[in-house]
Amino acid sequence: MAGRPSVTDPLSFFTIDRGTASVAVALIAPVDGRFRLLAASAMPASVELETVLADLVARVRSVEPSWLPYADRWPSWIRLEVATAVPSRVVCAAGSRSRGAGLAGAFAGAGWDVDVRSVAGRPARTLPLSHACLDRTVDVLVVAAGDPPSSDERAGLQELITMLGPLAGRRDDLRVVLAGGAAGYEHAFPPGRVTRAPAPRPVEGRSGTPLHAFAAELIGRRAAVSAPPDGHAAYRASIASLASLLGRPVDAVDIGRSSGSRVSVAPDGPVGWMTRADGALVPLGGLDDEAQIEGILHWGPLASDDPDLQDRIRELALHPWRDTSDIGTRLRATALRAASTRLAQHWLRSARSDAGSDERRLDGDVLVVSGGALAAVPVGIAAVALLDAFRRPGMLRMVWDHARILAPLGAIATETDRRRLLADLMDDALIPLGSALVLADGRPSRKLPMVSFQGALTADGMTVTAGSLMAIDLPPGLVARAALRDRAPLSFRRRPRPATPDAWGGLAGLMVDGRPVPLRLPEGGAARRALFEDWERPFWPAAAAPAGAG
Amino acid sequence: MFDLMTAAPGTERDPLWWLPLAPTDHPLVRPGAEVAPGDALLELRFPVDRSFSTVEAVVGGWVRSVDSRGICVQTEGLGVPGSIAFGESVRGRLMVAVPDRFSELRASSIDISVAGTIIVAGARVGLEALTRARTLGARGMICGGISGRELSRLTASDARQRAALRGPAPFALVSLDGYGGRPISSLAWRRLRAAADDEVALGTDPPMVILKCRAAEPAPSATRTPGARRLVRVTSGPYVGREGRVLDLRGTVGSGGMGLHPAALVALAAAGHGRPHERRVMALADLERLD
Repeated sequence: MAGRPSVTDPLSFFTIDRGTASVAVALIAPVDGRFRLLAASAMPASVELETVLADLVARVRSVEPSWLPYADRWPSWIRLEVATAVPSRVVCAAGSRSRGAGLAGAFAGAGWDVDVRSVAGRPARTLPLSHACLDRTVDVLVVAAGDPPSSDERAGLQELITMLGPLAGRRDDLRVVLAGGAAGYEHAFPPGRVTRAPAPRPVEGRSGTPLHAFAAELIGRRAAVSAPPDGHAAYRASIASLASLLGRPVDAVDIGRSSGSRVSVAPDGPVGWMTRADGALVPLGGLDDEAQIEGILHWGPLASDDPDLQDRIRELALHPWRDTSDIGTRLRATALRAASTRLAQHWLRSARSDAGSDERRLDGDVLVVSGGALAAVPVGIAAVALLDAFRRPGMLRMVWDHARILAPLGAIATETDRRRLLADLMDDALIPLGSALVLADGRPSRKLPMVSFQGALTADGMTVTAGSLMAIDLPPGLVARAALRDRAPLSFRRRPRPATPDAWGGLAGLMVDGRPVPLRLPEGGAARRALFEDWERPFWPAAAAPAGAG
Repeated sequence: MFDLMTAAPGTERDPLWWLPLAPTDHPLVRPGAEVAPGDALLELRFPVDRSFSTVEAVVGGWVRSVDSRGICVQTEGLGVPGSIAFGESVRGRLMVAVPDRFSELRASSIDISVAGTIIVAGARVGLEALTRARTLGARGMICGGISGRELSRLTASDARQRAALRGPAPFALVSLDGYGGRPISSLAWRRLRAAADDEVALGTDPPMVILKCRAAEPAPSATRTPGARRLVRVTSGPYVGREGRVLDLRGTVGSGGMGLHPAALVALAAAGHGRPHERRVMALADLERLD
């Protein structure tokens, strides 16, 4: 070992992404002058970390010992580590319905688990509100009003404060946030425990508003108390670096056991993000809510009213790594589609409310997908599930952060270092899932355009049936250029044109999508299941013909 | 590779037990106080008729903290952790009502002898059996798993009864392993069998069965070298609840036709008397190590 170049040893490092269900680790080391991802693994969070790291090193050594000349020293190697936790819980109370919705939206979009949303003047909500304030899992109480409070807020707000002030006094550890005009009632709460915040807008959810920024900072401060750094914040930093590195807008979605995140970044700066507890694979807060569980099963080819399947969905929330059977895999894919759809719906709702703001709307053509939710789903099925949720006309290219290294790399403090590492690791860490060309443009009466491909694919004047999803084999590394020819009469209305005509190949190939935007599903359970079955069939590996378990 | 599997939950010495407080509740104990089973911990005040009742400790120990979040008691006992809980914490005589850990308790086999007991109901319990046991005076039930739908119905039924001024008698349910039918693990089963006819407690916050510690009993997980025997338990699939020994690693097994999951060859013990031993290749993700 003495003859080896000593420079390679200190540059080997681990990335560690600790989730609430699993821990993802990766081993990165310089090979031939650039950093390479040598091995990666994801294990249930209860498995001892040192064992997983030792296993990674052993695997690399057994394949190519020269890559890790000082492998015995792995316990001292640098660890880039981030963690995500079960979202902190907040109780929201407001003087009016619209203010309550804005308040809850701002905190929910920043990653808080909103426990009770109470609006003044509704006595039926008094008891749950007081119980929630005394629940030891609730961390923060927020009371909001307009600044100044409007006439319809004032009377109800006074009632709320009269009740909540003494309740807050009974819990020494409950933090109180008074937003907007509610700050005028600071005297009603225990001294030294009140923080002031901006007033909520009527509808909130995405970043960009002062209250959302406050809620994000508050949750960040709580996360900072415990090392390692917050995984969601680090993930956003990494996606921003990736966008500037690629020089194009990037959307990202990260779905895990306890929350889901959506980030949209332009090359010159962040556009928006949200992290939601109900964006988790199976939201932990609603396991006893049969409608929620049925709602998840509605998004797949399995029967939504089967109690056994409902229990298996609940088990996914408690023990997501279990159940490796075919049905278990289908349930995971279904839950992934449902979680992606929830995130997409919240995103669109908040985007609509921002229509008058100066924020740019989502137009990224690269979607980065991350999170433990994808760990045990066949990639083609995962790609279809994501396409069903994140739909818009044009070309969408999907890449998968399979080793979950983006969040740990976001913990690097220096932007230039992070970009340099990302540039080296992009090919190893971001696996191309494939591309999707969505032909519909939201106008039901319009005929779908004809599609031609050049480059790696050669097809001319291809007609796509409305409502169908075609799978075309386009392996990773190949690029096909698409051209659309309109079949509708010439119109002065906006025509669909892909923002970029290039389709990247990937594990799921190229999807040509003739389904409507947004996706419209039949009401009947059997028809809906059959539809999902049809759409997914081409993407299941050949050995797994659809089981028709529904 | 054996170390890369999740460990089955063991038992816990002197676990914490929480008793939540409602806004009108009045605690009767202070931090540091010693409590015995049956000691009054808090006073429940009924604002309508201005009457009150007390809530008793279901387990002995000492009070760690008292604040508006609740009363936290450091118990003196052995905790068998559960996954899901329903109801209020209770204590009672433990009655093992099923012949083995794979069985399910039928409603027809529940009679008046269950009054005042906490019933070990096997792999699964249905709403009919739960309702019957509760009607006949059972204090609680322990099962391996419960259907989420039945739990929702039980919760709704309980809420309807609580709408009356005086609610139903306290009742608790602890599911040890989660949702659906899930045989009780052999470790928990042995503990519960050994504690039959003893007074035990069911804690609902967190879900836990609290047994008395026996002086001669060795401390949990200090009896053998970890991983020495490669004992595992199946946690999902058709063999759920079966236990066995890992013989060897076997590459990966498929789900959805893909070899995604590292797998092992497992020698499964018989599921009951007269049943055969089997060897199966199973995904490590569907196994929990027992030692």
